[in-house]
Amino acid sequence: MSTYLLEARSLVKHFPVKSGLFRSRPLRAVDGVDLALEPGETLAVVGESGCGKSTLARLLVGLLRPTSGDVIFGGRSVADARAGAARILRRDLQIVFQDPYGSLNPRMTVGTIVERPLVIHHMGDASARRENVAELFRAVGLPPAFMARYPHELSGGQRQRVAIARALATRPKLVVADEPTSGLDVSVQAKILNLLRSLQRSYGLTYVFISHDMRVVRHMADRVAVMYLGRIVELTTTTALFDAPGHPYTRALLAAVPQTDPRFAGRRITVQGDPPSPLTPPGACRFHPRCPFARDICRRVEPPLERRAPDHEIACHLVDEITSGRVAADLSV
Amino acid sequence: MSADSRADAAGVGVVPEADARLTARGEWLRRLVRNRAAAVGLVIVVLFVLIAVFADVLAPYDAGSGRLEERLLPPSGAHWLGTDALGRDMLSRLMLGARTSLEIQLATIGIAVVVGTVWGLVAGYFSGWVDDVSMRLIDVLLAFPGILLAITIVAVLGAGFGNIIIAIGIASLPGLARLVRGVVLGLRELEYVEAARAVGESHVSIMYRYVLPGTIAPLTVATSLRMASVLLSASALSFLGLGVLPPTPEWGAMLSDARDYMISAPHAAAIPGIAITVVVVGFNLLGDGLRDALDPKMRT
Amino acid sequence: MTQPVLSVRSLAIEFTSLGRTSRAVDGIDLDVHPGETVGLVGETGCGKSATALSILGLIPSPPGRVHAQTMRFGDVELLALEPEELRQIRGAGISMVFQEPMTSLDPSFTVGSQLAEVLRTHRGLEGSALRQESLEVLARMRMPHPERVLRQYPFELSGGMRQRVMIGAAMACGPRLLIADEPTTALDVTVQAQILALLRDVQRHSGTSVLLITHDLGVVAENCDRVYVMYAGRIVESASTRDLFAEPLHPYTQALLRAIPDVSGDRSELAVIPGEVPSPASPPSGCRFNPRCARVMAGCRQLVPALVERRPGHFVACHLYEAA
Repeated sequence: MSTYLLEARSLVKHFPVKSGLFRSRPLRAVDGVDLALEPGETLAVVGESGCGKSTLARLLVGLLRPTSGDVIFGGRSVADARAGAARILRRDLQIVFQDPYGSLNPRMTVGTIVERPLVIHHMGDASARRENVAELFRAVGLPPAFMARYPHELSGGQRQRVAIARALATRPKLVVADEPTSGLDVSVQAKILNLLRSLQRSYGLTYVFISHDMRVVRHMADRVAVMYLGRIVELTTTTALFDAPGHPYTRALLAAVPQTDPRFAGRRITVQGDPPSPLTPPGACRFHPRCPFARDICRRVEPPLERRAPDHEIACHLVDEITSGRVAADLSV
Repeated sequence: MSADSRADAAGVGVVPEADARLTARGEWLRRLVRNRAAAVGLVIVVLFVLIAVFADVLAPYDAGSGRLEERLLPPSGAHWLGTDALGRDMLSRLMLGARTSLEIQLATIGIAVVVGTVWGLVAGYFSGWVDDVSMRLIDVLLAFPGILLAITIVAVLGAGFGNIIIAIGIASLPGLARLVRGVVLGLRELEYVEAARAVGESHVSIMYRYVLPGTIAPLTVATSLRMASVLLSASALSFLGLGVLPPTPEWGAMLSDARDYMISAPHAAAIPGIAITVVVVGFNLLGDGLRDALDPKMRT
Repeated sequence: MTQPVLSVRSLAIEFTSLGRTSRAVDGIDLDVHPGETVGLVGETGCGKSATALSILGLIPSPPGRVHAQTMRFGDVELLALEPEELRQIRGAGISMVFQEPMTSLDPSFTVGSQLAEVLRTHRGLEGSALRQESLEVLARMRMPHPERVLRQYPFELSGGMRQRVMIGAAMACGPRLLIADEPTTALDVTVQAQILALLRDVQRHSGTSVLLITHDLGVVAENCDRVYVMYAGRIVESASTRDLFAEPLHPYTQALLRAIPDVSGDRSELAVIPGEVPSPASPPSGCRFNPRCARVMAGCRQLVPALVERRPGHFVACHLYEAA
């Protein structure tokens, strides 16, 4: 039935945090997320600190087990997979981490780092593996001679390429990229993004691209999910998100992006306050304490994620009113 | 043995990226040698080891036999360090005593490191009840002052070479296990460990390839410092008559034998005493030097 | 032309480590005029942070050495000051805000006590006047619940709030110059927008000059009056913000702008600068950008281009603009 590569259904992940001698409170990192990925697409997940996007990334590839809900890949549950089945999933679901300085074992040569997945999954004998690793290095733009080097002998951009090569070693179907360029300079970022795009074409990959940078999202993604405090508040195509953002938080995110083009400069809407902690989420609409449009209903009832237009879901009571201008922003900044 | 807790705490520094820069191409060795004090310690330790290893070739006399007519002779041309209460050549006894001490140290540290590392690794990596139970056990063992623990074990097992190795080994274990566990707790959270899981590495493989290498630097430091305390403990036990059995030469025993002659023949006590001191200081200097050499934040 | 608040000529900073010397900053000139916000922009390793630290004498002296023809703050030659005199200026005449407020605020003391220390040292306030002023500082920073914040420890505050405290402390003594070293890089984008807006307002009200160090050209475009672009320890271009973005002259500036993904939605490949930023220990000869420059010419490797005014108020260091 499902043509989707990967589905997340009512995904919830709570972390118990000690509060007091015997009790613990749940840190609701992911609090009810539904997603469906088409093969070959790039879905971006954007949000700020505490929104749960990194936890979601790890849930999707099976690095974390959900508290409830499920992730379905190829018709089978990722959360329930044990031992052997879980190992096979590792081949198809891979992840590139944010920190190029921390995600590589400093005591292994980069060649060995990329070779490990091949060894674990018994993909070829020693010489076949070496050749495979060399090919992967070339594919990510690194000379095979680098294979003997240690991570600390490479630059940040080069290390990130190694991390990408490692993720591709088992020819996965899905790659989750968790802020892969956040620690890198603009010029290095450009190269890595171009690389990711061309690899997607040559290896037939599906991406989940986690980011907080709207400029990068616009460049890379087909669809975008905006997360806030563990939930998706807006889900639509990239074009629709940038041309007609629905949720007030999305508007604020877009307005906050520093622009180099004077045509796009000018403050529209800014939000007050800091992203709240997932330990104490506000009741009802989670965004209401910071929302310039908040009304009474927002403080009482949590808005569901609903379809407001073809391929455009938004979780907000006041979308129509805001768009039509019937409700104005309270910009007491 | 409270020096041990200092020793154990000394090596804890989890900065893997930076210390890989030091270990990968032997940079730490160069830094070690540049440090004067550490170089002195290194020289002492190397000399100690060489003498211990080649003791039977180097020793001028048989350490076990002595002529009573020649007892307690001060240093002379024939006996460079004099003779002891039974007429045995002190120099030979010192050299062979070095061997005894080294053997004890290696065996004891061997046990303590191997068992302690595995214990700490498993406890720190898996956490949960494994960790809780392990740590309670370790706490119990650590509650006893080390020397007392060693004495108790020897009292139960009896004196002798093998038994003091077991006794001191058990007394040294918990500190090392706790050290390793502490380091592992930090390493476990690092992103490259998570990346290893993402790639499908098994737990054993992760512990061996990703976590264990990060413990080597702190372990090396702690081990070196512990060699000193093991030597002291062995000497103390032998001095008390609970250690190595005569006639095996051992510095602590030599010290004990010379007790009654402190005034008439001070060399008999001074010589083993000085030897113990010098070697212990040597190991401490080396250990401190290793710690500094392996610490990525130190500028040399 | 009014006297600049800060005037730096021929600043060079060297670091010596394990026998090797590298020039992190290789002879730059910088001016900040009263009331203006000047941006110093460049990528990692270009020397912008070292420049900022050197102004306040914060470069540690064994590995680092600072030379300059002059580094004047108003009438005062900073390089000629005794350490005690320099300490008087820090926090009062020139303040600094860093990227990571968690490490610049002492985690063992409450916000209140740290603010009090600044106010006591530089303004001699005590008792209730001190407390009143502390509250006002926080209120000016639009901090919610200032009384509560005074009692809190840095770890209890969010990144944005800590940065407000830092800026508040930095501004509390009415400095003539505020140096902000990547003040919002570690913050979420909506918080970044708030903090930058706050900085702009504070600056407008107090007339303080700001030297804003950043790697983000967008931040520069929206917050700075003038910009210096740094590459590998040298300034390659300087102009008013409007002029720089309207007509970037240096190939590096042009390439940098093209490498930023566009919010307008052009999805084609991002223009890439080939090669890597050179290590300060072994920089290329001549123009340091020459190995990576799309418009490199014959003389670029031999001759260092001088920073010359090519348009009114617009300076660039590039041989392309030398009159034939």
